[in-house]
Amino acid sequence: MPGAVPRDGPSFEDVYLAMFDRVVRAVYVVIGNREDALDLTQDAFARVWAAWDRVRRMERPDAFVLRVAVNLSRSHARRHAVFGRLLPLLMGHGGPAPADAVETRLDILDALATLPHRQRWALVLCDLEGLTSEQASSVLRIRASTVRVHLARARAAMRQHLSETEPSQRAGPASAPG
Amino acid sequence: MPPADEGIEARLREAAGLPQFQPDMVDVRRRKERLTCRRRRGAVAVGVLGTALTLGTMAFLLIRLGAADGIPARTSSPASISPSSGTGIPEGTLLLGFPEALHVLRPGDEAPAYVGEGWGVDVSPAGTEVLASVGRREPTGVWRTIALVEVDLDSLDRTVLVEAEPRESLGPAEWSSDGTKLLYLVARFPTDPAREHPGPKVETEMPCVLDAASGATRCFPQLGIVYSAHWSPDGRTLIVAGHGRRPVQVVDIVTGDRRVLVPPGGSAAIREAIGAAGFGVPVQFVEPRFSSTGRYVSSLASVQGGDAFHVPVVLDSAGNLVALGTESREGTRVLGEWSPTGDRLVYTVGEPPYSVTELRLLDLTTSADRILISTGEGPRAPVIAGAKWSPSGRWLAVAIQERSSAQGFPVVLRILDMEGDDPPREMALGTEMSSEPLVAWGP
Repeated sequence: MPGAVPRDGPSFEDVYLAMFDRVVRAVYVVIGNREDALDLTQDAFARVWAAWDRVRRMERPDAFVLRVAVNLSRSHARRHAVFGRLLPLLMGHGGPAPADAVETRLDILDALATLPHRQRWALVLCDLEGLTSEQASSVLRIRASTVRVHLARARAAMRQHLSETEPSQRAGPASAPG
Repeated sequence: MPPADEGIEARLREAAGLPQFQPDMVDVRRRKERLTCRRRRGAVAVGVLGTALTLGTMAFLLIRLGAADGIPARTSSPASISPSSGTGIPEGTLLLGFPEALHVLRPGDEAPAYVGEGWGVDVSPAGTEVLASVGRREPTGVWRTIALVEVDLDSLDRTVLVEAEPRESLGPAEWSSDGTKLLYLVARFPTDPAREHPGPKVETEMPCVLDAASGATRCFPQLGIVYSAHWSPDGRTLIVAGHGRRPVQVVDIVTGDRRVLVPPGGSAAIREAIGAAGFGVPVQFVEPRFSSTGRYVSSLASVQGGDAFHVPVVLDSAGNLVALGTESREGTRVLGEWSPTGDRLVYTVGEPPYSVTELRLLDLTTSADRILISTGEGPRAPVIAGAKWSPSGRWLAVAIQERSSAQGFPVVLRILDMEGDDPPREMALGTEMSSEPLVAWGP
């Protein structure tokens, strides 16, 4: 792709290729749908590229990329407020996966889907991406102390949700209530 | 920070690691161009509204003053295309590269004309049709070119010439010089990309030839994975190249017989010449193409061990070295375009990062290798993004792309008179062009 990017710091292509996997997987875990995650990630990078002249001068272009993804996922969550919770269950969260991995994926993503948006992102940024609460605060544009509060609440909710759902899921449909 | 819950962390990683995702730079570029276009249209709409309000107010005031002599009407061009500053192209049909939109320029056109959906591929030898590819993104995220379509430029009727099977994607294509046959590449994935991501490798990628009259197709799987294929001028053979471990070959499309034109890594004479020039060792010969008369073959020799990225080489039809061009230290945009007379080759040269700013002409009648256009040096200098000869060979179209991301990447078309003294003509083509702004210039 010669010629497309003015350069002083890293090129957009470098940042895209370096960050694509991180971003798309984080978005996938937050919104729970493979196709939407890919679509949203590509949109996020397109926006970053459109503003690349400004972004490349930033101290942390990666934080900006994540912030755009967070904002887009929030819009996505608003649009899919109802279907976002039903579709992953109906469609198995998008793409095919090994059969033995499906149960884990449903558990964790269903549990995540019950969390408020910011708690979800706080958990993903800190526990999946390995960001500190200070780094996550710059992505989410909230105070680090607030990140820590969201994170603690998210972890507690996840623990509770998983402890409630695991026995019945492992027992299989025959033991499900109803 | 609260202490981490290792169980949740591990399960998050497990869930995140399940699906396969592939980066797709072309798709991001397309989205960015659409985004830029939407923003500019918004800005244009606001500007037009403001202008209309201002003009309306002025007209109202003039009428009230009894001095309204009329305000000249204005017709705006589509937002994506700036009006021409010259008089259009001098001859033929120039097919332009816009994402999923076919645009052509013909003499007298002040702006590109939209002729249908698809990616531009070629102009028919008669100049009455254009060839386009049509694709779609599968649920797995893989982009698949599913059909090659012929569009009649008068009626805009579309005819599907080739359709891909579910596991296939069609590649570059071109008409034979008499327009009776169509050459195209077809890649076959190891899985159906609609259901399972096939991964980075293809199972096969081979050239196929469609006979337009009979509809018969012949493919050449025996050539292995082929990266590029082009017609010989007589339409009897193809010149094909693949990975550097494979030779450049010429294949008879009727008998399937093939001969090695360049062995892997080049002949001893080629290696010696490239080495003696200090460019290193050739490892691959990219995009070999016959000259318009078939007398010469051009290719870019990718080199290692020296300062260059690749070097243009010109061979005779037996594979003997005729000339070396100027080395490039950056991947170029114009791989080598032969003039219709078959003795002049234009190509680009660049410096990293991405500064492909020099268009050069290698004239085999005089052995002169000279600069045609230089757009400057450094990361801000505009890039030479494409070059195509006119059908008569008198004119050369050059696409020059600015590198100002604040306004997108505007492309200017410059038409050079290569035989006369006409001053260059210029036309702004907008910021939405694909990475190949000039696709083909037919009659």
